[in-house]
Amino acid sequence: MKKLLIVFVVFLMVCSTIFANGVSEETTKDQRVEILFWHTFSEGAELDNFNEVVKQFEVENPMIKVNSVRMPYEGLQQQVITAVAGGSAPDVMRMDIIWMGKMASMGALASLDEMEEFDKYKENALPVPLSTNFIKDHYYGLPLGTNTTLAIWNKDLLKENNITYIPKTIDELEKVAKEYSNPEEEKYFFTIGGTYCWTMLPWIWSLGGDISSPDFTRATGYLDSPQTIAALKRIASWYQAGLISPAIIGGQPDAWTAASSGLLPLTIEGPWFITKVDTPFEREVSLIPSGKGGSKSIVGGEDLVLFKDSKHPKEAWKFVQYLLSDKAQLKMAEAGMIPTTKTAIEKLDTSETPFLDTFIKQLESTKIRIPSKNFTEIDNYLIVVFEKIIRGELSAEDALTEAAIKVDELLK
Amino acid sequence: MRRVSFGFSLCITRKEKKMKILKKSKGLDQWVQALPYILPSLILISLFVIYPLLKNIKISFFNYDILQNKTLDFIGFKNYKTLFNSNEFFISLRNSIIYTFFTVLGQLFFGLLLANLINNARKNQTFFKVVTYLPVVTSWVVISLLFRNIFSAGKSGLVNYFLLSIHLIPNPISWLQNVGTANFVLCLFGIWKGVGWTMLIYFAALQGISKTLYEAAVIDGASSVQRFYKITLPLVKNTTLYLLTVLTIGSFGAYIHVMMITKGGPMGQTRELMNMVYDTAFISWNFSYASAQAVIMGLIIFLLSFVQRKITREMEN
Repeated sequence: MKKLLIVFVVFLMVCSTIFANGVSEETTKDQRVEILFWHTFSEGAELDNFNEVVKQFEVENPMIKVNSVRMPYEGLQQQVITAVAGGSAPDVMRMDIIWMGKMASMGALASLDEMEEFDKYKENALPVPLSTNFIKDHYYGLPLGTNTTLAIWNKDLLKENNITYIPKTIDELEKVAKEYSNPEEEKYFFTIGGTYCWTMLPWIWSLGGDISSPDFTRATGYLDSPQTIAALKRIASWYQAGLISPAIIGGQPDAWTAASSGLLPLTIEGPWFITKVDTPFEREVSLIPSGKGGSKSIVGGEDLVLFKDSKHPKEAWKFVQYLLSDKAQLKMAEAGMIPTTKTAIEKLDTSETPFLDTFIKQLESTKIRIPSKNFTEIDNYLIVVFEKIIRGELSAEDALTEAAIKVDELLK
Repeated sequence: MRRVSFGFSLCITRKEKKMKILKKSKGLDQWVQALPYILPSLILISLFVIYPLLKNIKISFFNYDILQNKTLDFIGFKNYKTLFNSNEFFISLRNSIIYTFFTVLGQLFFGLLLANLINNARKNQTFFKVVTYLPVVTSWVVISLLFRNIFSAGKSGLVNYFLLSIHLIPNPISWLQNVGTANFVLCLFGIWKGVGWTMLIYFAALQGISKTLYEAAVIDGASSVQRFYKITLPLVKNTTLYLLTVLTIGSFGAYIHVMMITKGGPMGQTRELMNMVYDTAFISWNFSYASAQAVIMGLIIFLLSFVQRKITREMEN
């Protein structure tokens, strides 16, 4: 009987210990602060590596749970604004850099200037991607991902056509393209994917032109400058001479299809063209051919932002800090992403992805698009203006003089 | 006499009053009886149609903050003035009118033609109806992308390849890079996408026409063309007028085809009114200006429908 009693007591003790542990674990789980994170990481290595980073963050910060939601890029800006208006915005988001001006001006984002250790992160960020976050004297985010475009060459096509060197300047490029192209046979040396800023600005900048002042306050004196007019005339002459394909005015095949199918010796694309496309030809990367303005490219990428109405700004900021740590940045770099912090760039091992060296070098001579709340309107307006010049429907002088006045209004 | 007539008239007025009260109470009774049936719809329409409509009109006269869902300062007719001074508005209006004119006429013509052919088919009527109706139920986006590829420029474009191979054109046409041809593609898309529906409505109307009329006409020696013009056309007149109104409203409101096929290009010359409203609201986030555009667009559609109704009534009389 005694034995039975002892066994029963031991059993009770074991049970109570197990249940007590369970309860405490559950309580811990319940007490965890959940932060909502929206992102647009692509399926595959990018998303897998990011999920690992999140897991590690949760291990190191057991009181924070990250609910990361992958959003479709199409229509995302509309979704974000609707969510902010409806009070259901996420706490943190990985946001396209071109939306920063609009979102910050609308009052959707929290300024990060006052956050703990912000200066440390600001100093460590790459300066050009960082500048996309600076709007009206405040920083509204920190760069998480950055990219740029550079020249990607189809070596097979070059060999087939006995082109033994890769043009380093725009003059050389023009010379080679003239010898190669034959518009009647739909044979073009390269193309520009459209007349929007992303595709046009690297050429305009490299040819010595610009669309706005360095502080983005006015377009007159820049968009209508002799250098920009000359740049546009030169691009138009490429189209009219058949050196570039009609993709620049929306013709088919579009730049991506033509390049990935191996129809063009040269394409100007981002790192994704190498990491995500299995092209049927050998590739080589180089800096964008340089002109009077040097070899200039454009900055793309995403910034990490906190929303103004976040209920857990401290936890959200902690997550931002973690994503910008060398550990997280280098983990994401394994999936082909270019780090945005100076310390991570120094530690980056590019022995297996040598093309990244060229991208990082090109990043040093890049510029950003106008970080204005009206950037989309400016872009949409310039698409039409540039297209009219390229088609020869308007003279570059008249079109750009009028455009500069209009863009000035949009920059106010 | 005076007294009598006075008494008589008094009698009438009392009766009239009673009748009026009776009528009123009868009307009220009917309302009370009908209310439970129409109340849900009334609430829903008020909530999702009338309230947004009134709010839209209000927003067009104010600056509007989308994030706070708040109207700010009163700006009067500023948006309307900007709209009528904008070249973009008139280009969009022109494109909407072109699209509406050609697609409505095209759908009516081909819809009636197909309905007649299917109605006269002795076999497989259902099969033909399904085949013709298929584009209506197919996704706008998918078909738009197909059209974009079919009409792509260069020799590899399907239409260009076909036209070049039968030597109908000497050089490939850049269908979507020229305003005229781009509008042609958009209209063709609109007709192809909607003709199945008009066919179905016309088919139902044709089924309602008595066969004896045609038999009598045959006995009188009327040719098939005469039978079509003298019997079919007049008897489907009401259907045509109904379709005319519905298709006009629908065509003005269409926007996916422009978004997916031409993206407003070339040079923003194929954008229609609805695309302009959408872009202003959801790309520029200028809800105030977009509301003014929507009000004007609504007025245009209202006026068109009103004129059509007026003409219809006159024709009926």
